[in-house]
Amino acid sequence: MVLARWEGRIYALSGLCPHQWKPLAGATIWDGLLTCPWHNFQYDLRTGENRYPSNVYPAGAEYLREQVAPLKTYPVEIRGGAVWVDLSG
Amino acid sequence: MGKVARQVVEQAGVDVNALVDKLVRAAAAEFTTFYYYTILRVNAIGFEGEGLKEIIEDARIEDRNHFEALTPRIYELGGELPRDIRQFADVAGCPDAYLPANPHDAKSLLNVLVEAERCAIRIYTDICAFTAGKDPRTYELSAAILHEEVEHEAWFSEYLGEGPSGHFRRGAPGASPYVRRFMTAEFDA
Repeated sequence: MVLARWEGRIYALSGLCPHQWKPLAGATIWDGLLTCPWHNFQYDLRTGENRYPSNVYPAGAEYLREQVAPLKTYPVEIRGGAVWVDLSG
Repeated sequence: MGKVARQVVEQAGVDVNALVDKLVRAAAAEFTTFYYYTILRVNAIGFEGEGLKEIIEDARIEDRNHFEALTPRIYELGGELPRDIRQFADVAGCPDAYLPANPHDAKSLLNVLVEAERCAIRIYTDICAFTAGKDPRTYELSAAILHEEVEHEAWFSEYLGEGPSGHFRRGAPGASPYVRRFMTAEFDA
């Protein structure tokens, strides 16, 4: 799992990039986007949606859709200074 | 492999296997981008496309140059390119730069190009940070490539109207003003 802090909020996301199921250890965050260190795929921290390369892949190319699947996100709560992640979803 | 060439990098505290992995992924990204830019270039036609052709050609050839400049360093450090080109393409550090669904939509074409360059900038910034102060040969090579990738991004970004690039045209297509000193094969651009 990836825990990320951006603009004062904590986000919890799957620790494996859905592109090739590589670990996201070493991923970087900028402007609300998480960048996978393996192939530089980018995901929206809030929704897990792929932002790159889905923005430049040819429209309607079904064979590429699987590559740009979203990163799974998990609900997060802060209780008493501790981070709680709901893994049930 | 250069025995001492690898040893001194290890002694400086670099994880050489991790570095080789980064270099192979960078080389794969250059090689696949060269291939895809060839397709983008031939489709850059019409009033808008023809204007793009010159800078696509510069970027295309310079990406091939980057591949050729990276390869010796991989082997010097004891690494190797994958023996299967399909495996090589799969490890590329950037996504494939596909031709847009409408190949004559110049803006879509430019978006593919500019995002590919942005990805390359991230790759070489990472390698520079990984080797700074420890492996001067890889650092200088990566920094030279980074200079060209930054220029490529600026050219395509300028076409998208995101701001001026301060672009001066290359003296010859794909002249690689920064990387050419690392090109050990004959270079007549």
